[in-house]
Amino acid sequence: MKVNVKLFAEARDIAGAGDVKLDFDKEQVTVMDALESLISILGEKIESIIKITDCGDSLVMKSGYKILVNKEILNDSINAKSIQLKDGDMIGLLPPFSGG
Amino acid sequence: MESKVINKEDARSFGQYIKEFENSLDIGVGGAIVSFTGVVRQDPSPKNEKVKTQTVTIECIEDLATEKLKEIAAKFENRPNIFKVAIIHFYGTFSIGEPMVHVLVYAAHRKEAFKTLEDVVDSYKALAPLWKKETYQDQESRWIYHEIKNDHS
Repeated sequence: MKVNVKLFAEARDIAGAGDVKLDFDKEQVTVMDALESLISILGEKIESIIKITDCGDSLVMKSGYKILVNKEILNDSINAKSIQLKDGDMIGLLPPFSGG
Repeated sequence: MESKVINKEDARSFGQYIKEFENSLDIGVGGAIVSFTGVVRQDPSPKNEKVKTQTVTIECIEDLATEKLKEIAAKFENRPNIFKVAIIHFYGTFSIGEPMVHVLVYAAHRKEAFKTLEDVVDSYKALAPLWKKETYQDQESRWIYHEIKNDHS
């Protein structure tokens, strides 16, 4: 199962990558699984934006950051473990918005 | 006239947007048309030392940003005495003085028109997936974030 991660604006600059393609052997993949995989690929570069808590239960995002799943911006209170992804889904890391 | 994001290379003049906005109105019900145009200024934001801004780059998720701008405009059009709201936001790289966004409000009276105009600006800055990067004359650059407000109603 494939999931595409897009990093926008500041997130792309910090990570040094705008697109990361994830490939899973299993069929049941959550947003949390995808973000854990992203962190394992990008390592320290992305730690200032997103981390998994020591107990592995939840995400810690840099202030104001949001997660996009396809065309839906997730509410901060939504548990990333509760959202199942489908093959070809896109996850975005969105820095705080700042229009002109 | 629909709210949307537009590549700055495809931007038209402010006068053309005003004309298009006027042509979309129910003439007679309103008594005020007010507008806000955000342009690139040379003082960095927040102000720092002596370095001036050279360009500003606006990045967005085009389809999602257009969808959010439409939602915001529709929400404010539900206010009493507000008849039409349009947000035209450009993306690309802008020089000093170039417009990045136009917001237009048609209302019954000027006070509610100006109040709504300000609220619409606060709202899209908080809710639409747009990002702003300033590049300075020394070629350093920085992503700019606004104060996050809780009330965008």
